[in-house]
Amino acid sequence: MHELYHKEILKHAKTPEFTSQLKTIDSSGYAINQFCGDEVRVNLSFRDGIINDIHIDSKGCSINIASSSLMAVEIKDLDPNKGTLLIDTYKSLMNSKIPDHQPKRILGSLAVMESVKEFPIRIKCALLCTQAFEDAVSGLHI
Amino acid sequence: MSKVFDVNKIRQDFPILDRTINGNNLAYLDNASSSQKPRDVIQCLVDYYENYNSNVHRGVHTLSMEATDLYESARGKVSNFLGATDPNTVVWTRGATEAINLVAFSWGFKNIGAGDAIVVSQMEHHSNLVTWQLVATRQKAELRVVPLTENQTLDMESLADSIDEKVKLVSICHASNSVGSINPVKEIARKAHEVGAKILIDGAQSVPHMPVNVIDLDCDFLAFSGHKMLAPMGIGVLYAKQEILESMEPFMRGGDMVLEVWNDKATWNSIPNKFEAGTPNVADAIGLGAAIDYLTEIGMDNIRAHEIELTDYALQKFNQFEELDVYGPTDTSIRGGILPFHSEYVHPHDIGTILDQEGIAIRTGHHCTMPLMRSLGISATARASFYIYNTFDEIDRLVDAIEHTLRYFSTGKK
Ligand SMILES: Cc1ncc(COP(=O)(O)O)c(C=O)c1O
Repeated sequence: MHELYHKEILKHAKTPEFTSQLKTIDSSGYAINQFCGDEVRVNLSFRDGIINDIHIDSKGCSINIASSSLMAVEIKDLDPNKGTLLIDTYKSLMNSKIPDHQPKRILGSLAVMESVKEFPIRIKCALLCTQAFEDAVSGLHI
Repeated sequence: MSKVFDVNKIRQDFPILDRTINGNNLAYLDNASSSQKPRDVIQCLVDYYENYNSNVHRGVHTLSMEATDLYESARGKVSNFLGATDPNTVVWTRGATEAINLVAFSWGFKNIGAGDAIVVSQMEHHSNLVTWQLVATRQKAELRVVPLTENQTLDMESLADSIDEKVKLVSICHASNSVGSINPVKEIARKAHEVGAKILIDGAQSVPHMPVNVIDLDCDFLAFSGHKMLAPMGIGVLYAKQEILESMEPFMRGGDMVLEVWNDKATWNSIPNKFEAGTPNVADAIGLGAAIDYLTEIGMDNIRAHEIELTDYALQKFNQFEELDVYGPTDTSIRGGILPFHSEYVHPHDIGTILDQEGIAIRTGHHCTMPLMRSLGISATARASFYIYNTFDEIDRLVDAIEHTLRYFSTGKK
């Protein structure tokens, strides 16, 4: 019945990761879905050019909260370029256009979000976090 | 089984209710957004396009005259339905939103000036708030927003305090689309008139569901939409008192609204045509007439009684959910068939998606009342809303589905 709410999604919706404030924020991004009011803030801190810590502050439905949390799990310890590649791959997956040069396996646990594709109206909930991430890295001139 | 009328017989008039959604019978509980259409209304559109279609008020040929007769007779039906004395006080619009904007542009900009005040409430639909924000800003007038009590009824003391000599217009919904409260608009009209102000009643959620008589309410303006009362989308009504309409400037310019035109000037047609520039929505106006015939046949008192029964039943069933906040008054004599609820454990969109899996259509979100949501400290609710074809059985399904959803999100068990 509830294919949308994969076990892993439900788990991250209930107890999302990376919810603690950062001591230093090197870059911050924000996205809001004007239509429903859901929002995500992504704060990043870097060390030696890689994302070494993340704070996610997401409000709204379970899909938004779970995808933000899973995204954070997967982008940690990447450099912003690799992070952007991962996000692009995730967006391609959700928009059903995975090109050959973007192997899906780099998505790791974020790939569970694919179940949301069965519910087209909710895909935007699963992609809000990517806008916040893009906003966070847009000023980095990578 | 409803004690008021035979709902199963009514359901047979609505073809869409035979649909299955995700393998379940459709339970359509999103009537405050838009209602379904009975076969009579659908057939009336087909009949119009197959037999009468042509432009109105413009030709001497038979079709044009027949179309004009049907169109103007629909206006007469609306006028009778509202208890108005003259069909020319009924102006066709696209819906409640356009009707409110018409008043703002044609009446508001002329009659509301610097230092004047407009009174609205905290439960207004954006269409009856944002429009007055524009008038207030441009005219340097004050917009007063009357707060609500703790069960989301209008705070009548604050209302009385905010209606003083500065007020030129009180614009208020008869029934709230978001929390269901029914406002004592007759009393509010009297208060407005005492200080020489006009009253606009947003009847989008009352005209479809209960008897509304413009003479009894003594309202200056009444706005509503056809699509929420069994009629097609794209047709609605502004009722206004005759002398007010006569004094108002046109809303839009074009064909049909003019009497005589020169190169440099024009004179205006009489009401209501003065406000109906361009080719109107003939078919849907006739469709609204057919919807009114259907509603009148059942009886607006009966419809209201049926919805009270459903709402009482639903409210009582919802008592079992300790984890849900249900908004609006519990006294159904001052509440429409609207049931908004919120749980801090499950987001409304998640509830909406799971209910959809079970064939139950509800609305989730801010319901075009963002300031109201903010005043409740939430960003969205899930909302079930009822109409003539809804049943106790559908409410049982709703309650069961919510129960599953809450259990699923708290334990992960299906
Ligand atoms: C109370 C109220 N006012 C105004 C409107 C606007 O109606 P429409 O969108 O049909 O113009 C609605 C519709 O949701 C409503 O519920």
